Amino acid sequence: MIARVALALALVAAPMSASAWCRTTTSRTRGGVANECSMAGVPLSWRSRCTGYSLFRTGLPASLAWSELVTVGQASAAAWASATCDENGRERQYFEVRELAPTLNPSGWSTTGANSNTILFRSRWGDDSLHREGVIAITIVSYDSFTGEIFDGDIELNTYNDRTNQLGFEFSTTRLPGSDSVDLQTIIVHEMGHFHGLAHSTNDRAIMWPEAGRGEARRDLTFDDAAGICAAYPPAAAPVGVRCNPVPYGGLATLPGGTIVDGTGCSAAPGARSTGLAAGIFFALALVVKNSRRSGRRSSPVRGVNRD
Amino acid sequence: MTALARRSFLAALVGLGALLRRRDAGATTIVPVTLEELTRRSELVVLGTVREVRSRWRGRFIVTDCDVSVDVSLQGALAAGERVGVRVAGGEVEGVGQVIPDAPMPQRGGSYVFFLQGAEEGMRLLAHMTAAVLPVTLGADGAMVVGTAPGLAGTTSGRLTDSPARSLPVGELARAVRAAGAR
Repeated sequence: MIARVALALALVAAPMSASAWCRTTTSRTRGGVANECSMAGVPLSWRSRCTGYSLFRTGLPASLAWSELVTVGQASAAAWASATCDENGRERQYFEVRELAPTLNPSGWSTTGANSNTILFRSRWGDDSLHREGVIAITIVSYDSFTGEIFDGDIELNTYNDRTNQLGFEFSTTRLPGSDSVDLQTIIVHEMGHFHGLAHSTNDRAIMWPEAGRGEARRDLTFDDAAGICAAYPPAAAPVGVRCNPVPYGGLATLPGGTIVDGTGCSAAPGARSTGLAAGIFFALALVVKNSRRSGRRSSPVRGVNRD
Repeated sequence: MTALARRSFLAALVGLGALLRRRDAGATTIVPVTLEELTRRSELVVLGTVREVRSRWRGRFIVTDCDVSVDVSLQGALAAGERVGVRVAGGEVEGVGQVIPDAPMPQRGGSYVFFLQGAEEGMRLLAHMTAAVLPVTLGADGAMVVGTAPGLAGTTSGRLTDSPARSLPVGELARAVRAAGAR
């Protein structure tokens, strides 16, 4: 027990600059050096034992099957969940990310409504301040600016479209993508690192190295990545007496505008992508349960005006 | 050549190819850009001082608008002394923060070189997600120097990223920007 506590303290107390890994903090100040790891502010992390992510039901590239996306999402979450924190490989970091029901709720955070941690393909890029050129994907992390608790994380993939986004990227699920395509799992594992609260690493072999991707695959965590996640979620610091509740704050939104349809569901084929009767039933169901509170729904930690 | 030798030769070729391929790998979430490329894709390049910053919700996202007074215009139709509004992603509003890792967040009172392209609600937008805001600080000798940013691959001379200080005198950067813009 003492050894576990000592390990946890050592991981937490280790100065961030001593390792290549880095954590995102509440401070946005940065010096004049690229990849500088901020020592100011509170490091961001989720404050429960788990959370969930939802795959966006529409917008998949034609080359990608829904089942492939499901597999990649699960594998990416598992990569982080299985990170071990001791030399024997027995102690795992305590935080888990589970797959929840698919969603039509887009990125962003609602302070009073339902939410989803959404993974989506975006075939428009460069059209607003959040989607500037020069990235294959982004993770938008919403957090408590005083405590550093992460409320929400959304991953958006800059997807090629011959009409709307010619500067976007083609995503591949093979381990050896062509030079003009990107390994989807490499990108999602990396973005899930940001989702957990990690920043970029200066270790050029790490998953969290900011430059890697086209024409190569790096899907497996390095020691540096594991050290980073173990510092954020050390085994000995797992919340005691707290059960895993992966539902986002405000309930899981599965329709646009934060409407709740299913509070806990697991992955299913995206039937709502179809139109006609099925979609009609889906939306009718949404209206019926829109205002109902389901068990497992969590209230928003922030009081304020609904921004939707 | 024996069959074994042929297989060894082919294996060596494959290994070399894999090595070169890995080394040549382009980018991940951040696609690096050179100073010249960044300049070419920018409508405006200015060295300015941030007079005010204001974060607010825009739908489900937080954006931060910066009021920048232009100290030196390096490219585009702005003159020294003019003001330009610059919008960046993220910020803090009423206890909620939002961040895209490595996206810049200029600080009030700070001096930066901004590479700007496009606009939203009258506010200028960045020409690159991470590399379009370079901090300007005072060097050890009291002269102004420009720092680098994530995703900036350096200048043609490589000095911005290769020098130990990872910074460049403002005058040198200005010359590089103007030269790239003239091409």
